[in-house]
Amino acid sequence: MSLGRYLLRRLALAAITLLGVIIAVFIMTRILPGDPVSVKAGQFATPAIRAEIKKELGLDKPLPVQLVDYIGNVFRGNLGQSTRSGQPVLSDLAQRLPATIELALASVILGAGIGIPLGIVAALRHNTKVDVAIQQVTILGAAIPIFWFGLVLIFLFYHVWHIAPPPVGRLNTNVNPPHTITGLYTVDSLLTGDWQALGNALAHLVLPAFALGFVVMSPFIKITRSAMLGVMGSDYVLAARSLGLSDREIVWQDALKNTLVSILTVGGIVLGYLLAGNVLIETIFSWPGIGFYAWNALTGSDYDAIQGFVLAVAIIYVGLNLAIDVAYSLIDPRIRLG
Amino acid sequence: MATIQPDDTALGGLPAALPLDDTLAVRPIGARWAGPLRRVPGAGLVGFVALGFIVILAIIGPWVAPYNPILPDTNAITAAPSTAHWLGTDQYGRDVLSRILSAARLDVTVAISITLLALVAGALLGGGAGYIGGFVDDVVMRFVDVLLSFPAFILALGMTAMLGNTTRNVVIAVAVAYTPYFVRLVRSEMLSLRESEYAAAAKTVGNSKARIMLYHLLPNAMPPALVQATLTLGWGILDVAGLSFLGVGIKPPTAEWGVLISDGAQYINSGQWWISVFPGIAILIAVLGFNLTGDWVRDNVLKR
Repeated sequence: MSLGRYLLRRLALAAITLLGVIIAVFIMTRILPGDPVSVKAGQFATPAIRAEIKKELGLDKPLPVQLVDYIGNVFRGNLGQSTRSGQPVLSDLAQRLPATIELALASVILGAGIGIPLGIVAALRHNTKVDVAIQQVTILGAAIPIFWFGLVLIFLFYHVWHIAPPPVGRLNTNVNPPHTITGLYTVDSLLTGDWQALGNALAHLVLPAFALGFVVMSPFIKITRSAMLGVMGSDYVLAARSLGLSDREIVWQDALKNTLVSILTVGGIVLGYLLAGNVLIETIFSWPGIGFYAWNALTGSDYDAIQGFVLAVAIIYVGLNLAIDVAYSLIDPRIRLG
Repeated sequence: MATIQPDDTALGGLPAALPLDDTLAVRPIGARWAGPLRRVPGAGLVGFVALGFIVILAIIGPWVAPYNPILPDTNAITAAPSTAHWLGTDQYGRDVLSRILSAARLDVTVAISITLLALVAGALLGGGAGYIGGFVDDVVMRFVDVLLSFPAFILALGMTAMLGNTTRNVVIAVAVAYTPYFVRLVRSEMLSLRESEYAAAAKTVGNSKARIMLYHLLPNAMPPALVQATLTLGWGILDVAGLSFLGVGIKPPTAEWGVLISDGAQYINSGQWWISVFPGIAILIAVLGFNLTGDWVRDNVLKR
């Protein structure tokens, strides 16, 4: 199959999946018990008012019509109105997305930046004490409740050692945010040369990013270790060795590149951890991203906002998983495009 | 893993004891990459001890709790750990140790319920899809694809938010989120089992299709799903605690580990660490117990 046809096919499949996702969210909200009319009308509404609200929300129409309306709305970018902010849910989410992206990127950089080298070291020293110690870290990372870990970090670094700033938001209240270019405070302050904002943004970013990064690090270590072991035992490494190349040359020139390709396969798992952990960590650090928004919506029974958040996360998840798959097949020519 | 040293099959099935083994081996060059990949030594033992500890807590915890876990005590508000309250008290003066102990049974029961529900649903859906094939298979697998388009925790979060957070709904929501993984595992086993000779034999002697699937094939399709189940026990505890922490899991004042951590969250900044820290350690021990025991079972019992 040619590359173009492969990409088209993957896109078509992703589109079908997304349609399924939208229908699933619709089912979640309309067929499961839970009464949006009561929420909107309040408990003292007269039947006439309730009927009017029902009509206004389109809930008097048959379910299939409601479904078509819902899909149409989603495609027009109408995810409903947040009762808390009074704004359209989509603009609420768009406004908060950069904060989430900044935290997620920082976590992946930390998780991969520490996890990949540790995985390589574990493989090169496999079955030694170093390997065992690194594997113990992975076991811990897979079992730790992330929100608890975040709280422990806050207690130690903020309360006991006074190193970290208060765990509230992305900047201290007396620091102005940098001029918006990307929406990521660290990048923007770097681009505009706003050193005060950069320092403060980094200080706020470190703890939540480390908490998320620690959990994300585990899959990186695991996959890097096993990929590296596989590569080092392969025939072409044996060939390189028989030509007299040193261990160092083999690791840097041959093994590492092939290991990095395998690491992409863990991308989907890491992404799932990030999107789920993000809600908990943003809540603990009052980080003003979409996860914190979702928590506020949950505690305030803001149903449109919750639906919008779940749908947005699923779309991001499907989209990025598709991107990872495509990148993987582009990078590794051995993958059959099927 | 590709090894450099010829293994038994490469030697044409010659007994390994023959001296040939030593003369033919090219061990010196890359021998350190050959050989078995050892797991962390003692991990299985730690897993068993942790699991045993948590199971005992779940059984006797609520009985041995020194105080009433939900009764406030205005004389002992946010008291630090002491001889009267070993793990301190929370903002309502409730004994943290008693709350952790009485939560153990709830958390373990909820995790087991989630896992059993997902396992049974996954076995029936995956087994049916794999055995019947065709249209049924297509429908089930598209359904699974859609569920897998959500990160499990987010799907559970959305469902509990809409269903309302009773303990029953939390169990259902998290179980639904983990069912797809079981469906996939059981289905792929079933696809190869249905072509097996004993399936044909069972059919020849006149067993019904349902009987062949449920009694003959399904039990043999379960081992990979059982390993998945031990992992799901751990994830179930983490997810339920996470949902409770966000306020859409188990409702306070019920003692549940995630609820306990949530109770103490706002006191962390002012230094009352014990309210949140101790319940988190209980979760950590429980999840370690499930994960490590699962790894051990996979490596030592189910290895085929």
